[in-house]
Amino acid sequence: MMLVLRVLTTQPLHGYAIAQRIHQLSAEELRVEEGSLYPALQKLLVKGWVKAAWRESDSGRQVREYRVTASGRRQLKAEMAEYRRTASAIGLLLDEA
Amino acid sequence: MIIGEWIRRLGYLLRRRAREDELRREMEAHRALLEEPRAFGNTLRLRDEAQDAWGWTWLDDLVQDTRVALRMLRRSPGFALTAIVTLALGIGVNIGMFSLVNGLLLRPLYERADEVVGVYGRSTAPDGGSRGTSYPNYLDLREGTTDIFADLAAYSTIFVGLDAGEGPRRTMASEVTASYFQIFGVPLALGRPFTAEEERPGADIPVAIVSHSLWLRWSSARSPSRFSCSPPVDCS
Repeated sequence: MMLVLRVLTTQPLHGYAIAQRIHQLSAEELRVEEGSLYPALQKLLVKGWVKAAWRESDSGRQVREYRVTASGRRQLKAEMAEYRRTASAIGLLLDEA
Repeated sequence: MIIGEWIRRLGYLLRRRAREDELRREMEAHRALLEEPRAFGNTLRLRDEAQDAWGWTWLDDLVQDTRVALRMLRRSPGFALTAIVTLALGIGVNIGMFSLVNGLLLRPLYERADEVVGVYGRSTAPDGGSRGTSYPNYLDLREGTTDIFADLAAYSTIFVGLDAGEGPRRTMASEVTASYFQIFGVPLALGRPFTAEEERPGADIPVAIVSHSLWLRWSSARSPSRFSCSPPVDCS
């Protein structure tokens, strides 16, 4: 969910494009079922962290585009801070040992 | 934040068909774009999982379970009847028992019970217990405590002979002052409370107020408004 939010902060995207972006950004490391994106997106919608709207894509297809809301940005910021704290704590532990 | 979430959940519930349809179209479009559609995963399972996010799955389950239950009951009416009668009896007995306990034990007989106190005289002897109060003392007490008590009533338990048609019977009664019924806020089903005139010692006005159960016992034997009494209680 954090990854999806992160990808959406740069620009609004539809589901297929989100999957593509995550794939690229993770340097092809993360390979999950692409469909599992949708349960995550619905959870983000429930929380009000993203909004969805139908739009005609450049290729003329109807696509559902997701956009981060203000509360979504706040959530991402909080979660990233939390993640960095945890990561640095683990890093410290590993260095000590 | 939580309220907003619930509003979104309810909004989803109200336009559920459309929202589910939207999700299905969206997922199918995504799958169609993949070179390897299998990389998308199990569409049905993922869609269920996605719809679960809105937290209404229990409602579907409830509706479905109810339907199944009703169908099963219709198929075996004997079992259905037995179950219904058993439940009805169980619930009925419980309600009956509760109203009994509620009436007798839980609900106070008198609403403002915490405002009522008993006033007793005390013997001056070293081991003296509580003593009764004479009527003149009661009057003095009542007059002298108007700034402490809203009202004061006196009572004394006596025995009287009552004839319910089978000869006089020894019956417990209370002699009470006129203020008694007003203090306890007990409304009389029939007739009037005692008057100050009737309270005065030596007034010799024979009036009595009987309990509801006694009245019922008598009225089954004779006309409800005419009792037969013997001294010291008489009724007219």
